Amino acid sequence: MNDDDLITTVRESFTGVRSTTSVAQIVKRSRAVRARRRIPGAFSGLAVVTAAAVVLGLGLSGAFGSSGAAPARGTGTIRTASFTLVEHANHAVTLTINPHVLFDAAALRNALHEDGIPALVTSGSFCSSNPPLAAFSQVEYWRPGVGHNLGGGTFIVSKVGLTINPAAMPAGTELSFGVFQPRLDEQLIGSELIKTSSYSCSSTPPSPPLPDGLIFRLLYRSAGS
Amino acid sequence: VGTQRLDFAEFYRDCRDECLRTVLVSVGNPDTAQDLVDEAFARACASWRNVSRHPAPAAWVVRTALNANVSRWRRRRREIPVPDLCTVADQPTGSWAAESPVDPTIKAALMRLPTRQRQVVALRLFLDLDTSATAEVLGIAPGTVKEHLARALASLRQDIAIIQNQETSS
Repeated sequence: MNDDDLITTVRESFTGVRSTTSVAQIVKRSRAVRARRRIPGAFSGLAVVTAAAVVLGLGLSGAFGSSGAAPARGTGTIRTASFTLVEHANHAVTLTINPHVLFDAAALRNALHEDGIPALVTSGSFCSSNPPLAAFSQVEYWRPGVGHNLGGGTFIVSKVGLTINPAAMPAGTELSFGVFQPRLDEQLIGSELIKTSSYSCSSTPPSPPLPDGLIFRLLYRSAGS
Repeated sequence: VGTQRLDFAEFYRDCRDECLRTVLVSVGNPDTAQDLVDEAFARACASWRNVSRHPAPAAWVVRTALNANVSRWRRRRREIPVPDLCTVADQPTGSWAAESPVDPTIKAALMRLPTRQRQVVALRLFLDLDTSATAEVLGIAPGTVKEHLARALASLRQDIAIIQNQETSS
């Protein structure tokens, strides 16, 4: 039996396997998928999503009591569709990124600045200093054991939950976040500490090893699960 | 919206059986495969504007289904001990054996293959993906795909011949 015969035999043996689900059932199930994706509170009474945000596909929502696309702000918390930033009593902040919404670089930069964290957040490029700043490990914490560690500071994750300690940032430095979308179902986020006065930006996504930084491959695959 | 719905319906009708066969071979359980494929198509429908622009939407569906299976397996892993952490596919079950329209000889030979080889075979045979597209879906190198396919075909050929000889002699 040659390869073609074998392939034909295997292929034909599966002709009796057919899906029994109708398209109407799939469409109905897709409504549940959409419902799962919605962020709770994102569409409350005063929420206003600007036309610009919709056009840019930023998924920005939840501007409680404010106008435009400003993030929602509770006590020590800034919440948008694409991330949540929680400020703790010790002034450290926890950044949680929602993998199911396209990353909103401008909103994150503004939110970090509001919390007194100088940051350069770019979409489609990544800025870094040469040599990299070793103080990064004191500034940004990633819970070990979360996600799949590929080594070289790279993790495959379904959700990013970072802790940032601005008190550990040396003077004249800021955090750099670069966001890329290499594939339809994946975002890649690189993070380093950079010198404000000396850094360069590249449209090439960061690649491991990144000894004084972190790379997250954020997969959309677990939407709603 | 109406046009999009029609587009999706057409895509679904054209691809659902091939996607189901691909996922069935990969996970080995017909009920699980049907549910995974339904969920993946539902996600495709929910994001049809983006998915329809994907170079191979059917491959997107299969990848989503396989990823959902990994997520499901990880959740289950927290609940019960799993002896082999490298195997993410469901073990073959009696339900497929009892009710399957698939030739038991072919099915037995397929299920003896390692999970990754089965996935490669399924993507190549049922979705007609080329080496690079298969590599993209599975997140492995094209050379690895070729290697898996060659080994899988060799194993299948050998196993099917042995089983057929046994049946003939008995």
